[in-house]
Amino acid sequence: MTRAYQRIAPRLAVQGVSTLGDLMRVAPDVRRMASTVFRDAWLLYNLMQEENWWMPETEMYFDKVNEITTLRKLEVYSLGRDCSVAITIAEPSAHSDGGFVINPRVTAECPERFWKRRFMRLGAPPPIEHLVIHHYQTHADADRVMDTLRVLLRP
Amino acid sequence: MVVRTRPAVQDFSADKSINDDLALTKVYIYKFCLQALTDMYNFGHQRKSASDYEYEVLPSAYSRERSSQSLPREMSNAQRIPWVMRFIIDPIMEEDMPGLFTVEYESNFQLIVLKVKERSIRKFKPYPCLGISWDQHHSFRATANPMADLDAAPMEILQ
Repeated sequence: MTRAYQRIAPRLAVQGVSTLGDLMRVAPDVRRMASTVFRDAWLLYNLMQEENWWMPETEMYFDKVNEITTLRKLEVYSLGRDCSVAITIAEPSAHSDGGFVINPRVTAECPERFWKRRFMRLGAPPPIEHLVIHHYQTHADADRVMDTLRVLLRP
Repeated sequence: MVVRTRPAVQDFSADKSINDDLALTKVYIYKFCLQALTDMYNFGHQRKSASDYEYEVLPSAYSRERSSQSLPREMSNAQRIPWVMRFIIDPIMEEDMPGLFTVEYESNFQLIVLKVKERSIRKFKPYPCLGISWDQHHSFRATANPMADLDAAPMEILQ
């Protein structure tokens, strides 16, 4: 059984997969691949499951990277309270590790001290201009993002 | 008036097979007690941790599955879909990202496509999908977005 896995272009090719054992050896690679390919879809699905949150499509930006539609920007509003966060996703490159950047919007209802308290609850150091979640790569990282947003946007 | 009397105790002492069974039972009881005492000792002053044991207890179903995997079972076309579903697709659909997916496959078992079920965000296009395919030389391929958008794919490929 020979295999070739292209990390940049999401393709996995394995020759000689003819038995159940061969299939079992391929399964973890396919699972990892799906975890990467469906990362943003899983994040959006989870965001949409939250009843009190709203993400306007007009403020969503997508890009196509290596045949995968990648989420670039979005804004998440908490309906219970007039507060929102802007999200920017940077893909890893030769110059940076990439990451998931959350910018809290300072408003009259959500002033700076409000966000400071939320940041402290997360154990995130100031300043409150942005919060970076590193290594946003797989669906498990999308779960980490959701946990962070739930603390920040709690009514 | 009915009087119930205790039945007479039968004497089995002369029966050799019964005596052998009794002896064997005594041995079992002795071994069981010895094992119980050893186990109790392990929870005493010098308690053994689970990692100190050299053996590992596996669920029987898991063991059966593991042993069946070692068999060089050739996959037929009809087996391919259920096996791929069970060992590749189901863990992704049910454990990793439950509720997100739907699956489509060709009638000739050469292509299985894992697609995103939720399509309410219109801007999210093409929706990501993962195609798993084979050719006649047992070459396995998993490709992200094999066609730009599956809905736009020619019907002869999907049906």
